[in-house]
Amino acid sequence: MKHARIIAILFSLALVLPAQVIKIGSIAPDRSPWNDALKEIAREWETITQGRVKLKIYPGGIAGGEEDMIRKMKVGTLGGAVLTNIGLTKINPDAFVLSTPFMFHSEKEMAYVMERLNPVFEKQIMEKGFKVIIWTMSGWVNFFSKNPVLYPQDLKRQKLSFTTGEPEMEQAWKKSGYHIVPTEMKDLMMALQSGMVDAFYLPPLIAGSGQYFPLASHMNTLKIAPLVGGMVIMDRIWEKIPENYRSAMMDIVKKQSGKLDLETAALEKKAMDTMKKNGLILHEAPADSLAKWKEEAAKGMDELIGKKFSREIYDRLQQVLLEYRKKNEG
Amino acid sequence: MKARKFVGAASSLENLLAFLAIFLLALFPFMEVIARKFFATGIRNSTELTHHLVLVLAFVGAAITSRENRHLALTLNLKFQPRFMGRVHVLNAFLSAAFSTAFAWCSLSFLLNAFDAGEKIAGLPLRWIAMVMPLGYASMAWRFARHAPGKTWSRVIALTGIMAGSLLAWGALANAAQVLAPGAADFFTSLMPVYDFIGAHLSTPIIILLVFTALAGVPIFIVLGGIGLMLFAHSAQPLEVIANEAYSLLTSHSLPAIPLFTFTGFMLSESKAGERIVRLFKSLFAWFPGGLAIVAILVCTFFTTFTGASGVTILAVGGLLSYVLVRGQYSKKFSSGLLTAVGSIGLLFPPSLPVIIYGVTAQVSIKDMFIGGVAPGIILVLAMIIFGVVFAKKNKVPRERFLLKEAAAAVKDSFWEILLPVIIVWGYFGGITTLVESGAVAVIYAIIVEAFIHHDIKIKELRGVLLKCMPIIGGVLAILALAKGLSYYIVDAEIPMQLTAWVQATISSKYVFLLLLNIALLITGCFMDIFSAIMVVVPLIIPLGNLFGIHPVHLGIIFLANMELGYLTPPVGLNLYLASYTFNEPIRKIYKDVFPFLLIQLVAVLLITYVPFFSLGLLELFK
Repeated sequence: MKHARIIAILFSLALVLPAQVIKIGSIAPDRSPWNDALKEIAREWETITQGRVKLKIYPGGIAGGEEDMIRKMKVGTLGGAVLTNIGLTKINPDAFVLSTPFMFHSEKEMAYVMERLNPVFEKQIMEKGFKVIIWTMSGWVNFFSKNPVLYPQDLKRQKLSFTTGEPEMEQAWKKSGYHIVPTEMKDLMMALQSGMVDAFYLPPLIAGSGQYFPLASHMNTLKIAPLVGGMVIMDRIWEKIPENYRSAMMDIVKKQSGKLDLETAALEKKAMDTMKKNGLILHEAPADSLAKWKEEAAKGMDELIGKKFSREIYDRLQQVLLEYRKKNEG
Repeated sequence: MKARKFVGAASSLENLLAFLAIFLLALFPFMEVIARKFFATGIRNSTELTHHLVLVLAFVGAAITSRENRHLALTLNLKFQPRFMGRVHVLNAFLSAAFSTAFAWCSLSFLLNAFDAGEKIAGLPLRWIAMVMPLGYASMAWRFARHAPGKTWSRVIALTGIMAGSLLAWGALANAAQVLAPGAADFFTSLMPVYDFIGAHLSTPIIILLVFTALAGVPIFIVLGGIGLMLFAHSAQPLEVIANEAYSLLTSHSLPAIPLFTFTGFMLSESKAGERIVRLFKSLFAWFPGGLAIVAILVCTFFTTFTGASGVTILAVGGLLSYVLVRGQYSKKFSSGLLTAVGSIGLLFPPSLPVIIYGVTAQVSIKDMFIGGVAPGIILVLAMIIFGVVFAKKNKVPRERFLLKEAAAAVKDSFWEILLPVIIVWGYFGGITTLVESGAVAVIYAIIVEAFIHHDIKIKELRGVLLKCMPIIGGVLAILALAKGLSYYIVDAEIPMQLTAWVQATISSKYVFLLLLNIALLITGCFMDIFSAIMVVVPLIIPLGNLFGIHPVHLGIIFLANMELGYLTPPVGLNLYLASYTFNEPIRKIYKDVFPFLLIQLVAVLLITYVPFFSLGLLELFK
């Protein structure tokens, strides 16, 4: 009898406490591993909070592009969003340091740096009112071109498309001596077709799903920059979630993101296979080429340091990288 | 007296801003082309600059449109007593002023909350640039109130609309105040219950009122935006989203093409270029029955292939072609109807951007999509051509003998105008210019030709031409901007998802599904621009297509053909509005004009939908 009463009270309490619905926008398409993971997170969050926290997901950019979603979070239309580094940089320019070309050589290096620098970024992002729920690292960005590109001079002979929106980076490429043609993503297909551009750099997954690769079928395996992203939720909304749930919720996200890493790697491999079957020609980056790319990139570095991101964060990154490389040399 | 002086000064400021905005809008992309082609460089940040110039142009333009009282409205010919109609007009002014005020507050709060104080575009703080939004709406509110007909008391009523509008957007007003005057928070929270009450209980009646007054002359942009605003208010959501959607749309990818091509079209039709082109077309094509109509259809088709389905076609070439047709003895009714109907007809042919975006979104080969679109595209065009020829024969549209001498003279006469499409096409397909840049080149070229080569328009008169074209640009962009707000409500409320879930659960016949798809897509085509529709609707219909065994390419063609038709469907198809502006006819007349064409296209679209062969036959052949 007593139990029944308690249950009844608890039950009515659950009815009284309205569920907190958090709207999450995402650029990842529906039925992609990212969105599957997001749905899984939504399901598990709802379970462990006994239905108190519900996610409503707007996948495939239907809630707008990254800048649009950030504005929607600021005015309160969205509660959170899954972003790439383009969006994260929009919130906190210092995060752009992670996308600096030719900075990182391997996933391990990247993971080492992110472990040490992410708390710094998270604090900066928090100051803008966003709570970072998870960071993701899903592969690298590569060059795709009409004629093979192995060394910088090969690229300098071609017109390189640059997705508009990061004027500092655009200047940096120009300072390094490349022929940059600012192109919007929607124009890229036509620009490749009409010969306005000859080369672009994108993650292989996008080059495949966007069907750009048949028009620029030479790919260099050289790792230009890692593809960093993450999920953020407005801090004022995160704070409304009862505190006792939060750490369990974060654990669920970590678990899902671990699974996601494996799936995206598999997906990328599949995309590469499909592209190769459809005429993509893969060029292994020659051993001595990275140094040359870095040398060229250094010429444009002044356009980034102190302009796009702070010198402090750049120096800190260099320091951590050096630390890692020292440790792993011997 | 002082007030009048102030209003006069404000008007000249608007004119000056509009002139500057369109001039720079043409200049930046043009310089970008020069810099890229000849110096292998570019203008720093020119894309963002261009996009924000459109934002400025849109709101200054919309304010001018209010000043000239040229906002598009339905205005049916209602036969009521004049006394009653007078009251209706006062109510219209009241509602228009109220919602313009509400949009102004939403925009102000939006720019304060969505942009950081430090964000800059080309050295100018973004917040200051975006101030054009609330200022534009505020000036519209003021104009709507002033334009109220009748005596002083009716103006007073209309002016109270400004207060009512503030209450409608009180939530946004309070958010803005939090940034600007945190000390006054108490005052703003004290009125919040009123705002909440309106949202919770009065939304439905207000929306119904808006729909009714829409028939009696409240501008369309107020109706669409007002419905959006009330829906968001009803679900207790931030109203700033209305302003955000306007901002997103106006600063989006190919939007600058709209004002640029509109202005180019206007330059041509205001000069004597119209005469020259009439002579050219008549001498070359009038020997064939329906010849002029066929050429008009083909020009529109071709123009749409590379401008996408943005409605630019009607704005850019509609005026000129209408002039050509009417001078070629086609009735005005036929001309307006035909040109409205073919405003997006080339949508399926390469290099149409919607087809490409569809391919990427649905993960269908873009090449297959283009191959699949050939036959259905030809069916749509052919249907229009046949109708044109039959009309010409039946109405005995006079034909003219082809005379080589006259043709040669006409070509020589209009040489500079003929060169314009050549330059656009060569630039775009030759990889020299993007779509927006083609528009910029077209504006500058048209100014050079008409002002300096033909001397049809004097430099002094350029200002007049621009001011004549501003209400069109402003009126169209105002509608697009606020329709985007309403269409985001549809996304936010997950209405398409609910519909799909319902279909999945209840429909089992392929043909019933296709019929529902036709209807749903027609409605979508009325309310959403094509790119939003692709992103929102396509991921939902793909699994349904699989379920009912519809080939993904066929589904894509069905989707795009239906969207094209949606643009012509009364009461809210976008092309109808554009046509009303371009052909200077009330919208209810456009409805009538386009109706026969709409019916024929409906048959064609149904044919494309239910006979997969048209979309898939060629594809099989190429395999």
